Amino acid sequence: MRTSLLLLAAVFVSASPALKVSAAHPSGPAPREGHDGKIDYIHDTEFGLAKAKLELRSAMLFFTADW
Amino acid sequence: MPVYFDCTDKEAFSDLRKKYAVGGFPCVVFTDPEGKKLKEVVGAKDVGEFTSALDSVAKKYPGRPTFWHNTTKSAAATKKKVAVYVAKEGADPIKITMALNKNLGDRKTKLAWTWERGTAKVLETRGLESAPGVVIYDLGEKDELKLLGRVTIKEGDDLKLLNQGIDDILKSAK
Repeated sequence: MRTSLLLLAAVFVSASPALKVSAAHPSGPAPREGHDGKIDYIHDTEFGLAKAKLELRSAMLFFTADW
Repeated sequence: MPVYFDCTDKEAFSDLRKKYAVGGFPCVVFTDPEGKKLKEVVGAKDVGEFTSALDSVAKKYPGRPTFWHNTTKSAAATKKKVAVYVAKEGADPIKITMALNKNLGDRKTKLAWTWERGTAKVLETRGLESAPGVVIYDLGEKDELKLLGRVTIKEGDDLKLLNQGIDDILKSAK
């Protein structure tokens, strides 16, 4: 499980720069700094789903478990 | 909209896991804005499959922006003063967004807004006695957040009180 999680994380950070930006900053242009290629996940799930609805965007729901 | 579901607790998000038929981890489910499942990527897949799914749903739903940033980090990246809205636990994010959108005026764009739910831990971290409230920060030289002030309001209060509190903090910061 841990290995597959790491592999999936590698998939995320290996995506093209444009895709990384669209995933990390779905509401607009990329900010000047601050993300190190990592996805800026919303951890308040209720807020995240509501934000997707309000912004008319698709949601990318990442289900994981540290078992 | 990337949303993280920590399912380490086996009962966590059981309704959503059932709704989206999540059978193993990690699992990425792409939905439309209303929450209807469009695609999924389970386990470690090649880059092509993941980016293809991401690209197709992003193109289909390009979206419209609200004033919210996902985290204090992404808010700080705009180089504006950061406003953290700490919501009362159980508050409806959509209702709050609609109310603030209507009432904040140009404070929506002057400040970089992000959201947190007012759990005991968050209240302690933000130095608030109760929620809802707003905590405003300035950016330091190394982009660290420096406290400028806090505003708390009571549920049902006129949001003009919130605006007044924000303006007072911004004036005193000049």
